[in-house]
Amino acid sequence: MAIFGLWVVNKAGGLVYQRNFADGLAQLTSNEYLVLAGTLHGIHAITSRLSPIGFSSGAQVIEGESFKMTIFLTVTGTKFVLLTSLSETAAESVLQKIYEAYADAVMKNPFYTPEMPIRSDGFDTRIIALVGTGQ
Amino acid sequence: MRPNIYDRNLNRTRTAEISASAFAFLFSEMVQYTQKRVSGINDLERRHVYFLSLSLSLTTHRLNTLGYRVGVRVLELMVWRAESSSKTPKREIRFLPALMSIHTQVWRAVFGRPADAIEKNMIIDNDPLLERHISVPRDFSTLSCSSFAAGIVEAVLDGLGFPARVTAHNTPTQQYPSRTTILIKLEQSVLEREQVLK
Repeated sequence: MAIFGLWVVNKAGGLVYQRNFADGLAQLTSNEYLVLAGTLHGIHAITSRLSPIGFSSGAQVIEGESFKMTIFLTVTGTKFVLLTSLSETAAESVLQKIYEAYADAVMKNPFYTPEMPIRSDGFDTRIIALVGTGQ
Repeated sequence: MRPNIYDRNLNRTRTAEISASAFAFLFSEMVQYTQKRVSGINDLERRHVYFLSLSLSLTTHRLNTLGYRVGVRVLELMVWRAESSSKTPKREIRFLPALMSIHTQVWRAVFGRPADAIEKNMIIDNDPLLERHISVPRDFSTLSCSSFAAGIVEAVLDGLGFPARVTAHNTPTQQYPSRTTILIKLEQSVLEREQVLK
């Protein structure tokens, strides 16, 4: 059970926060993370139209062979994406706590411009305290 | 017929609390409001460093002023409540007891707990409530949002008869990264009066 990384994607599909924790995924350049986040944003939008029974949220979990992505979509369109090992069971609860840290350390920070990249010591400290090494 | 809020007993909300989150959002907006640029500063924008320091001192001054307006009301309410609950209400005429009452009573009334330390002319708060969710960017490291609290202290001192210049400074330690010092510079007239009263 491991947490590999966290992405926070704004409502336009731009990556505003990215952090790696435990080893297990390829190391990418910041540009590659930006592209992947934008791609995920598009895919998520498409998946919300795929349900045969009418209204549906976008994909909540996407599983690969060696990892899975758990996506938490807020009411304002921000996406919190947690990349974890397949056996990780706490992804959803960790995302809830990350969302709380975001509501406090980012949203209540007068020096943060909404939808822009997050550069906040307060947020970093809380995320590190929450996830630790990800092991 | 709903009673007028101004006719309510002032002791009614004595121990009332408000949502820390609601206040944090309000204070965040206040800080952003104080950061708005002064018009006609275009020439200075070219010299970024000068503009930045001017902008920071404006923000500090505006936050201090906002705090001052709160401090005037805090003092009045505190004195009214103290008088109505004590048989022998006392008025402090020496600086040190006045400073103690700010450290304990004002801090408790405004922030819910006494300040952490007191020195000759300073009040220290290891984890200011105002700054709980604020992360100041490196460029602005000299800005302390506790200038608002400094304004409150300045108003209380003015009202008690100790005119002073009160400023807030970031004095972080390993253990307390948000540690803040409120520095009080009493006016010469007060220093002279303190000497006489010795």
